[in-house]
Amino acid sequence: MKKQLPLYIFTYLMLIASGNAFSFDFQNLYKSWPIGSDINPSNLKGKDMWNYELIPGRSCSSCHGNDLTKTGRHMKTKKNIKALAPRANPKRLSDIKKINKWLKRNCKYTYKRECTSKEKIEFIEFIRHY
Amino acid sequence: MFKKYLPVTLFFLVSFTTFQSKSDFSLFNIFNSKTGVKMVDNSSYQEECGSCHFSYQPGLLPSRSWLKLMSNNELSNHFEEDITFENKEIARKLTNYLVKNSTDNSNYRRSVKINKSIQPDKTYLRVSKTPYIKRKHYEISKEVLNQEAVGSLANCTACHNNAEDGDYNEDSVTIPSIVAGYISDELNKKPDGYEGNIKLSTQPYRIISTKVKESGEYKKLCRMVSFKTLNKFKVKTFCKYKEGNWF
Repeated sequence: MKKQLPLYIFTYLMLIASGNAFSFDFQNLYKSWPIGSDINPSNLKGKDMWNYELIPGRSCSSCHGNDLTKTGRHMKTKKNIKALAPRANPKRLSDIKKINKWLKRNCKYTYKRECTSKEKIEFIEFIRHY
Repeated sequence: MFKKYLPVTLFFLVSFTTFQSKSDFSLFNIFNSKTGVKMVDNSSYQEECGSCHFSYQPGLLPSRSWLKLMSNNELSNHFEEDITFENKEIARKLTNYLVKNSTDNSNYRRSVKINKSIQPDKTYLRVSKTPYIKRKHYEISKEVLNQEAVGSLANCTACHNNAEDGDYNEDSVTIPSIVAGYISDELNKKPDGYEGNIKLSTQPYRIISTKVKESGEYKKLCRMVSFKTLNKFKVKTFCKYKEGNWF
């Protein structure tokens, strides 16, 4: 037992370290977005927000579908889009740069403007807990 | 005795050889050049430009088209979307990759053909608008293009089963069936014996049987469906490759 103690401690530390490597700090991400803006944010939440069509025929669900655990389809190009819910697709919401890139691009496409921090948090929370 | 045929034969040989050197696909390079277009071999391109649509191979457009597409002006209005790159270095590398493998820098046969078809003063941003591609698709009706499974000519993989490999040969083309498109959910999920109605025409149909057909390395799933019209039954077989459309 004494001989193996360092090995046990080492393994335990490695497990803790690897655990941290996979956990994503959402609070840090939310804090990185500027607070407050002049734009009146949409106050919709959950499914209503997901299905809201500012431009007719263009909502989040138009491409990502109503069921985030299923493969979506780009409304224009018909390309299959992998499931958005992390529980169906573990790679989702694991890269800060990608989250910011797609939030910017897709908000511009659907809302014709960048989303406010409040709206972005709402989207990420919705996807995260789907 | 055959001396009289010598001049003619010599003449033929000389002119044949001369013409070979003038053609794009002469005997000289027919063993060197490859068919189709070069596959996408750049993971950054696949990631950045293949998320929303099919990753069109660089060998489908000339370099001037790619340069224009990657200009700031065009990026901010990329077919109605603003895809301006935050990381300019990535954009620069992508542009280099595109230009390096464009039609005017490729000896892949289909790329050469596409390139030849485009007038030098024209810069197309859409692959589907190049004269070569238009000519190849002129027989396809609007009905076939507008169906749910396809959408437009921009959706290569809807019909070209090997598009991802740069192989657009007609051998591997299957045109999705419009009727199958109406009942594709049921074809995908329901068992043999299922009876339903095609929504639009309320026409009754019944899935009769299912079979897997193999030919070489290709495996397709086929289902026989009978449609009832007045006092007749029409039987159709729809097949699909994995991840493909019912044709």
